[in-house]
Amino acid sequence: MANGPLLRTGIDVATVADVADSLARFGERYVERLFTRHEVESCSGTPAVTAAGLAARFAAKEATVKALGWEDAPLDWRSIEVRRARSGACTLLLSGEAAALAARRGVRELAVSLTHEGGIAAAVVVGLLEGHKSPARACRCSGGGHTTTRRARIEEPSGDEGSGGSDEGGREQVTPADTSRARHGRG
Amino acid sequence: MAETDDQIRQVLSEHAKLPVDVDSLGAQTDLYAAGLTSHASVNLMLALEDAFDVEFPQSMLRKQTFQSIASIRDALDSLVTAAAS
Repeated sequence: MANGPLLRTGIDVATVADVADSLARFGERYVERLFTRHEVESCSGTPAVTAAGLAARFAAKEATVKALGWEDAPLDWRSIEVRRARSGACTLLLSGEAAALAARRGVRELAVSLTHEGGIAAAVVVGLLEGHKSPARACRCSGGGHTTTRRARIEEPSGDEGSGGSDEGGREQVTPADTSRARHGRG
Repeated sequence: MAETDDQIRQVLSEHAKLPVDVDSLGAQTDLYAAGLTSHASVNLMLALEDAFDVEFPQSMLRKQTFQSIASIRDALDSLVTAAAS
C-alpha cells in the first residue's frame, strides 16, 4: 500500500436564504451557470425546497473543489454534478476539468454527504486516492482523463426538508452508463 | 478608471456581502481575504454582467478574475475591448 495520505477532504456550507435571493435576483442565469438540468429537476418543489436542495448542491460542488485542491483553472460549476436516484441516494459525477483534476490528483473515488437544517446547507466530500484499497461497498471505477466520471454514494435528506439524512443501507447507485466500468465491491 | 472602480464598488456593496465597508478596500485588496465567498462571487459575476452589459466567458470564470477591484477592472476592460473590436 502506498505511503502518504489516504484521503483528500473538503467541506462547505451555504446559506439557503442566499441561494433563494440569487434565484430571485438572477433567475435562470444563476441556475444555468451553476446547475445541470438534472440537479434542477432533482430540486423541484416549493421555492423553499428548491432553494434548500440547490444550496446543498452548491455546498457539494464547493466541497469537491476543496477536496480536489482546485487552484486557478476556469471552473465550470456544472462539471461537478450531484446525481440523485429515486431512492434519494445520490452520486457525484465529474466531467471536464473537474474529472481531469481528479485524475491528476490521483483521486479514484469520491464520497459526499449532504444535509440542510435551520437555513444552512452543508456538504462533506472525501476522496480516496489511487494506490489504496477500496473500502467494502465502495463503487470502483476505472479509467482516467477528462471524460472520466467518478461516482460515490451520497447521503442526503429525502422527503421532508431538514429532517436528517437518509441512509440507503450501503446500496450503491450505479447507473446503466456506469456498469461497463464500475462494479460492486461489496466484501 | 476611477469611474469603473466606483461602479465595481457599487456592485460589490450590493452583491458581494462582504463583512467590511467596501469603501475601505483598496484596488488591490484581496476580496477573498476580505470575506468574499465562492457563492457571493457568482452573484458578483452576474451583477457585473448586468451593470456593464457584458458576459464573462467560461475561460474567465476563475478565482483570480474576482480577486480584487483591479483584477475585476482588468477583466471588464478586456471584455469591453473585445466587444468593440
